[in-house]
Amino acid sequence: MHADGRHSYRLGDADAHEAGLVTAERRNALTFAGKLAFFGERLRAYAFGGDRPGDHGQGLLPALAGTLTLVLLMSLIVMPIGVAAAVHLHVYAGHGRIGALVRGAVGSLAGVPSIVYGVLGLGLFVHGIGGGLDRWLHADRLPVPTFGTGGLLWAALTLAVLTLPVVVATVEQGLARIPDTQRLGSLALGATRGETLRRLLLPQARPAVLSAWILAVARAVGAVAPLMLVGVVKYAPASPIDAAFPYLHPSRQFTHLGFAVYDQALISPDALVGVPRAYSAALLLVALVLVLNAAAGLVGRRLRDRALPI
Amino acid sequence: MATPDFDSTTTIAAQLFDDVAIALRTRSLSLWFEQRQILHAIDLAVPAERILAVIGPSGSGKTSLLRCLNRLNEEVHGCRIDGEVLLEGADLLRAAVPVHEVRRRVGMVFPKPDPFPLSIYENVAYGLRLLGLRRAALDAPVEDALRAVALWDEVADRLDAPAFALTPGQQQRLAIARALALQPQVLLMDEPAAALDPQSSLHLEDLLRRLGRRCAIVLATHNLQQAARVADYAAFISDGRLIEVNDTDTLFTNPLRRETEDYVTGRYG
Ligand SMILES: Nc1ncnc2c1ncn2[C@@H]1O[C@H](COP(=O)(O)OP(=O)(O)O)[C@@H](O)[C@H]1O
Ligand SMILES: [Mg+2]
Repeated sequence: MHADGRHSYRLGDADAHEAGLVTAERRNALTFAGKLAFFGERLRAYAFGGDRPGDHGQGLLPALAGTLTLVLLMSLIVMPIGVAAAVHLHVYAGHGRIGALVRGAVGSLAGVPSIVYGVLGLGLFVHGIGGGLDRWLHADRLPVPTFGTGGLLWAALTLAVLTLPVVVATVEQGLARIPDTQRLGSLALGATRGETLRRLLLPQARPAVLSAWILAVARAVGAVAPLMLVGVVKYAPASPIDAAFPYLHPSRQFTHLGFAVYDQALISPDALVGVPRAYSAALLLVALVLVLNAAAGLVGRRLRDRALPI
Repeated sequence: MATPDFDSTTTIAAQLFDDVAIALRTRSLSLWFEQRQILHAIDLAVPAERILAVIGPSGSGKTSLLRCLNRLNEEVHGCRIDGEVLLEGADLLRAAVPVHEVRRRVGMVFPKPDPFPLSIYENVAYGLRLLGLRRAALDAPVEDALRAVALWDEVADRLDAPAFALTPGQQQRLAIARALALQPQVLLMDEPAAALDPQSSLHLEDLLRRLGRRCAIVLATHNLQQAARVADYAAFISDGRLIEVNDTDTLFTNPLRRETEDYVTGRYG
């Protein structure tokens, strides 16, 4: 036994399998520093992977990074398109049958199960666009696909389509809440419709844009099913973000916390290790949503307190 | 006296506008919302540097008439306009003047003060900023406009405060300053005192009398006392038809038309 109270036992292979243990420590006997070091080691294993069965030599950090990257990329795609669509709907299709039709469609789309979007993403983005890109850009490497297989970009696009309805509906409601007298007041001062939109209406709709984004992220983070069709993997051979130019590799496959929950809970050979890990991945996922929400709330408060810039 | 033909004829007192310049006039101006005709062939002259009150019961078309003059009705779906609106001889409805240019030259104040969610300063500067003016060039016209509405002394030390912090009376004067900053030739005021208490309302009337020497003002109101107190001329409109135009005193005390008399003596409808 070591002086610091830590002791490793080497167990026979059969015993180790039965106990699910490779190392054993007398934790109560550890000094404070020893406990800290032990805790740090477990945390490191949690994040980067340790030597326990089911670790795959990969912790949850890649899954966290994959989730964040995916959600950010999706946001960059869905927010400009969604805001533009909402503005168009509000300004140009306010009355009449077409507006009502589009609004109805947007409402129904929001209720479509997410797996349906996964099939759409697989057919349209992965096989359609991705396959097309491969034939055009990487014909030499076929039949090994470059873009024509699931990847970060296709997953982000799929999630963008998935969250577009909620973004459009929320932003349009925000625009509709602004009294029409504001718009008329601006027009009466010689502002064009575009100027009125840019200077007066969109700034006032910023809280709605922010809520739209929060709702989109919440729906996107929870949508794991479609990802399985368009690029999520158990462990990514190469991270979609790394130090090599161009740093973001949108065609690479990625890992995702939501998928880790599923994978650990059901696929891990060892329930004793797998289920707690599924719980902790789920906790991390929920914590991520909470942090994003809190951050958005802070930003939102600052936006509301500030007089609008011109 | 037999009731004159109600259709299309407007009684205008003889020699009424002989010695004043006309800032803006309409020729046979008609307005429809969808299938419904709201205004019927209106011929109205707006004298320069005077106050013209447009009086008439609610729903008679005062707001609609004013909004023809700065083409704001075009924001209403299904609106159709016929006739001419002449500003310095050019027809605003058809001339090659872009609509935002028209609205710069013909300003408007709305019934309910509804400042932009900006600072006091930026509310007044809003129209000027659209012209590309920068802060250095804005200070003087903003101060001018605020002085013109007697607001400068009250807000000079808090120009960057949000306009919402002002009282309704101050907000309405801010709305007038906002329009005046662009130095319009004509200022359309649609029931500007509708949302104000009597005190602020009187304060506003004082202000209007002073502004009436600065640009042409068209004051739409169903408040006859207010019209009598501030306006040089008055036009009575009923059911989308212009009935009579006269100087204010005569229109209230000795109207030429029976319908006008009924309305101003409270025997209307
Ligand atoms: N946006 C609109 N669409 C359809 N009808 C309207 C609209 N605005 C006003 N009207 C109708 O036009 C008539 C005149 O209204 P308005 O000009 O507001 O009268 P006033 O200002 O004298 O009260 C009313 O009968 C009103 O119902
Ligand atoms: Mg009105």
